[in-house]
Amino acid sequence: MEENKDILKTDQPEYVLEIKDLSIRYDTDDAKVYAVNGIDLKLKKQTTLGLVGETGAGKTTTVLSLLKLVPDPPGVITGGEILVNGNDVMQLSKKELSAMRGKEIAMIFQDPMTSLNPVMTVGDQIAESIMIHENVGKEEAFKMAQKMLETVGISGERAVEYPHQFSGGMKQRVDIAIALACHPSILIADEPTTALDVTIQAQVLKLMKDLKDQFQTSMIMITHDLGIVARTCDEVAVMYAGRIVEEGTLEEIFKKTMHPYTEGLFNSLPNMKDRNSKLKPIKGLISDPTVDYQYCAFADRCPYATEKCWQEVPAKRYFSETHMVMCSAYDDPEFHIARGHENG
Amino acid sequence: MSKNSKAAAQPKRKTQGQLIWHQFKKNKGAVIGLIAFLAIVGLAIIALFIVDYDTQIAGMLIKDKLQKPSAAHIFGTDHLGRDVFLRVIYGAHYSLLIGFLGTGVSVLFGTLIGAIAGYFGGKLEWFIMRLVDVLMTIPTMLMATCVVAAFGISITNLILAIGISTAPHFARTARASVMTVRGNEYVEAAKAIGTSDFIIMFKHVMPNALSPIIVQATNRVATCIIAAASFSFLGLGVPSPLPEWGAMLSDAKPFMRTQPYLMIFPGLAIMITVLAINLIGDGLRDALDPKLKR
Amino acid sequence: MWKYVLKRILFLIPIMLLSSFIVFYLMSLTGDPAQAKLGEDATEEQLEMLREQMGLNDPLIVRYGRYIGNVVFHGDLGKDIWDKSVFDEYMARLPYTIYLACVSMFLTALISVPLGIIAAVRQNKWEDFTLSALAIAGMSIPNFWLGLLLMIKFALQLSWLPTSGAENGILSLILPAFCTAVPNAALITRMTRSSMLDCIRADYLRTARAKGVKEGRIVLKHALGNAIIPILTSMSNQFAILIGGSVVVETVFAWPGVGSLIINAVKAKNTNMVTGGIIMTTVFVAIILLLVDLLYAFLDPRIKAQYQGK
Repeated sequence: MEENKDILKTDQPEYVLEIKDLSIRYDTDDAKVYAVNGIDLKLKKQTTLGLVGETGAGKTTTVLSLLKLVPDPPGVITGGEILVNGNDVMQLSKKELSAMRGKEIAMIFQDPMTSLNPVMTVGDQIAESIMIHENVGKEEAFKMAQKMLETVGISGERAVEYPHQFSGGMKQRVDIAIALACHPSILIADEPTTALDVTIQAQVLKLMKDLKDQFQTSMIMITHDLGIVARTCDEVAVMYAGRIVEEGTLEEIFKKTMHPYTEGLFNSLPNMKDRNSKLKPIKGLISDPTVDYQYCAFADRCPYATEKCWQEVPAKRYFSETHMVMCSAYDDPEFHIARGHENG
Repeated sequence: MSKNSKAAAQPKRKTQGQLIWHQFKKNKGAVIGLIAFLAIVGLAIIALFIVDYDTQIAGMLIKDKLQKPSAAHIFGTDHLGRDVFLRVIYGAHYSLLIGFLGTGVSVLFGTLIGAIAGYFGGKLEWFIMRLVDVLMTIPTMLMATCVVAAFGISITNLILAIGISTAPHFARTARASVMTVRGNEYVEAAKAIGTSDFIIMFKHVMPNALSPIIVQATNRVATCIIAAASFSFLGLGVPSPLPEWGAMLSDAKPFMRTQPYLMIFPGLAIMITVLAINLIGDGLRDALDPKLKR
Repeated sequence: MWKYVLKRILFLIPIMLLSSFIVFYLMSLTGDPAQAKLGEDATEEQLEMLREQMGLNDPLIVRYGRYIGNVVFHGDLGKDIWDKSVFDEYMARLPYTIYLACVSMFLTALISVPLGIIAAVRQNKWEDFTLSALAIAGMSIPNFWLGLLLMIKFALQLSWLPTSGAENGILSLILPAFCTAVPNAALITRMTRSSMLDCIRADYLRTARAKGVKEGRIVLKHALGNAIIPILTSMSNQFAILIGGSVVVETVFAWPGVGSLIINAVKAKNTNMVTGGIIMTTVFVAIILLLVDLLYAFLDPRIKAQYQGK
């Protein structure tokens, strides 16, 4: 811990990515969906940030907006700023945007079964990215694509094959190869292992971690699996109903859990030490995304909720330089959640 | 508890019909089509009562012949002095009858054999579907021509010709959708409790396999109307002096140089009717199968 | 792969035999060919003699066997009521139909694919609404009526184009090709639109965008590359139907193709000509559809893999 803090002080924190007060809404025929509601995020060079939360919390929408890939219509970015290596994504021209995607920031998608073009060979799909961003010809790009395939553990000879000839885990490796082909400074992985068999998951995660170190890439890892977070991330942001409700280093989130929702996430995991203990799932259903919450969206599921939680959006509260919590209960200096207390 | 969870606790219960209607209403084109279609049907029915067949449809009023559209005859008069407007609205029921009955024949035969094939599978299915393959190799218009040539020229034969020639298409659709439904668990469940094949087919399988058939049938009514008009125009469908729209166009052809307006109204009538049905078809497709919605 | 192709070709034979039998059977119901040949005044003995001579007294299946034997081994479809060879007559007309079908199909593709792409890319914008409205109108217009209207305007009133026949080469072809193309183009426009929309929403387009692929290439390479397969299926079906003869349009413009040949034969009770015409057309259509089917194997790597698996 001590050392860590020293590094932070001496080394000027350099952010490859900054998100400021970002809000995104989907306007459909039937309803307005408030997907992201004013979030702030910073990603340091060469760190991995875990973005955690239930399905529908707005994780995917957030990261899609980093590449300006939120489908429009129905998606509307209603406010905020996104800076990738200092450039405001929202202000980029089409040409600049195309130059940024894949080169500065790349993405690995959730479902490898559908994320590859079925009528192009995998080699061509990797080479396409290389041809856009690096000044090379077709043959050269294809050779580089083959090399990239080998980097992710697939024989270069298979570059001429089509996606349907690969298994799910192999396809995800191809996805990784595409994303890393031009050595982006930021890599986004949207639940990269959810669609894979458990046995394959570990391999793919290890591969990603190794390559991330090899290419000195910063990474945002979206997942709802806290185990994956523990294995891969340096920092964690917990999302609920389009807001980041708790944010901190891996240690802060895991050892000094503050937010009742984060606590709920931990409690709903099976306890490996005490196999007789019962699972304690979070009661109630996930928040309704069509509601524009002007109070704490978690209030109706929160065991600690007070009158105040229904009246205003909780303020951000910093418990250390890095540890942010958005919960009104801490207005009471005596307040603590059960989990941290038991452990402590 | 919060407000939204209360709202979610009591969803409004709607019947399937209401849901379909709700979706259908959203499509403006479909609503316009439906209104136009009802107007056409209304006019066709009124025409049957107010128009005197012997004088105004089959009669001859030579002194009035080939008049341009005017206040007295808004669509003009034809070469035998008959009012084109009255003939057009009187003719509507031929097109509608042929379109719907032709499709009806086609749906009935096609769906029945297709559903049987799809439900029972095995050798029966193989046999039926190969027969369908055979029938489908003969182009639709030629198959219809063949039937008309074989059985002679009349309205009934035209309906049969159009119906038979398109039945194989319905057989394929029906088989495909029955096979999709057949695999579902509620069918397995019905079988497990010993429900007879017949009941399963009509109570469980058909209602759920119906959507694609309805959508295809609606489109087919439209094409049938065009096909019927084509045959009548060629002199192989509804014979003159019956004012079927295609037959009227055929009658008007010798006068196209001097009286081009005679060409306009019957054709326009076909187009508007077909357009109305196609619009309804699009609305039904969107309403019945949300997955297909664009 | 080749084994599969061979299997498909062999499978075509029984299908062709059966479908031609159905046509042969239906046409045997049209009436007495002897009567048609000799006219109303023929005596019963004359008729009976001719029937015996033409083999009409044999059972249907025997007559069919003889007929199909002549077709297969001698390319002989018999003689029509004017004693002309049905086969020769048909073959003389076929090039006109193929010519019309090709030009019509070319027009269809030229009009519909770009319009469909525009409608899809501009989904729910005015371009989309206009094109969709035009497409459904085009689907609803009877093509022979459109032909008649255009004939009045461009041939009779403006005299820019010939009214009918095939004597003026490409000029004669413009109106028939355009009229047959309109409903087909309308259908393909809608199809291209919906097929493109499917692909535009596909995950792999998002992957491509995330790579930095430019929008033009996204649409034309990634989306269209996948959307084109069902579009080609439909177009090939339409082409097959056009080869079957655009019966009405050919008649309207007196285009000397097989469609008008068959219709005129039906009207003249020229039974042999109708039978031969329909059977020949059916065979051609089936061959074209088979070729198209096989062509897919080379277009779509997924289908190719299926075939190779067999």
